[in-house]
Amino acid sequence: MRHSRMATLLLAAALAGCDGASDSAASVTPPEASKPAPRYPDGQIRFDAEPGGRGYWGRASVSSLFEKGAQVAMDENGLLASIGDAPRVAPFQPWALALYEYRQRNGLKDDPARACIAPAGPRHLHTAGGFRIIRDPTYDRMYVLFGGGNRNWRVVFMDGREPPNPEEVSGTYFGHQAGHWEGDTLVVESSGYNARFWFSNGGLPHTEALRLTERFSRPDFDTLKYEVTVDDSLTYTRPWTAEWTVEWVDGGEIAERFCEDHKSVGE
Amino acid sequence: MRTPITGDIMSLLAKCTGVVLCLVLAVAARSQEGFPLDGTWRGEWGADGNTSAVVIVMKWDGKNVNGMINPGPNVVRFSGPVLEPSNWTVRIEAQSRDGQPIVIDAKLDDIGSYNRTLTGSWKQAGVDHPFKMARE
Repeated sequence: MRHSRMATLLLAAALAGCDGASDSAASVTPPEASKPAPRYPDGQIRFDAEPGGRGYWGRASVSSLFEKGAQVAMDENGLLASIGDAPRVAPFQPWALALYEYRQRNGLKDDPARACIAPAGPRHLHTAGGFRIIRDPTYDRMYVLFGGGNRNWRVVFMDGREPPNPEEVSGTYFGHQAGHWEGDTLVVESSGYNARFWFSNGGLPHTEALRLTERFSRPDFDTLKYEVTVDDSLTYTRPWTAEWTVEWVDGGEIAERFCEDHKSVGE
Repeated sequence: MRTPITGDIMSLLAKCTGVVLCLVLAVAARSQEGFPLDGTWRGEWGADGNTSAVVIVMKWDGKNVNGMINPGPNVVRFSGPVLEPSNWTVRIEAQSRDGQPIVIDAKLDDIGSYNRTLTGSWKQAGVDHPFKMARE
């Protein structure tokens, strides 16, 4: 067993040398395996810290939203490195592509988040500032509390209630959100949004017809896997999916930070 | 009875209300909504001194814009692609209540603003008139 581990380390060291990587000892140390995801006493996956512990979901593996599999370079604000990549970001209708390009060309200066409008939809899950996902068994709900943007929250009803008739309600920033479990995956379906926010920092358009299906899972203690399917037939030619992972910040707390017009004020 | 103290409070309340209203309007002015033509537009057509007020309501259905000119008993309805996104031009073709063709050709400007504008011409009975409106 010990010889086998030594051989593995030697092989890793040899491979590190082959690709020109650093020859420091750190590069040959196998990564520490993450702990399994914590669970509630009833066996359900816990997306938050264990009792007595602290932590939150921090850095996302992406800085903006784009269709799964697309190869597009963007900065941390969702600004494309090349405007020619715009059609690859999502399956836009012609007007939506023109509007996305317009927003990109003017440097995203019309972003409603600059006026402290909520980074609603999937945007708050890749916005700097972190978030927590908390189960509330008393009211059979999940809360997503986020520290980025205007430091807000969303409520996911887990009690099986039906969404309201869209003809009878005005769209809101967070819409109506209903969740259920598929094994260890939390599936949240939402609709009833208004169109006064950008659901990505890069300026992807949407209309009030927007419907989102989000899938949250925690494959290990340190990782949140997130997938969202965007369905808005008035804006996109077909439903499309984006995905990313988010790192757990163990022992940390979401920093106190508040949004003021055109800037974020923090600690 | 209005005492000096209640007068001060009223004045303070009025100022606070004004500040809040300004903030709300400032936020709304920066907001945008989905399809750029969706919503209610108000403006006028015609030359100086002989203008007609007009209200147009438009709604995108994914393929066409369905609209109404002057909603009410004398409404004129239209439907069509209307928007050319490559250059943000708008063309509305309709027929007045007395059967005259109406053609509106306009340019969409200030797209990033909630109160974006349409400026161009309103052609009716073979005559071109200036036309302008803003989204409410």
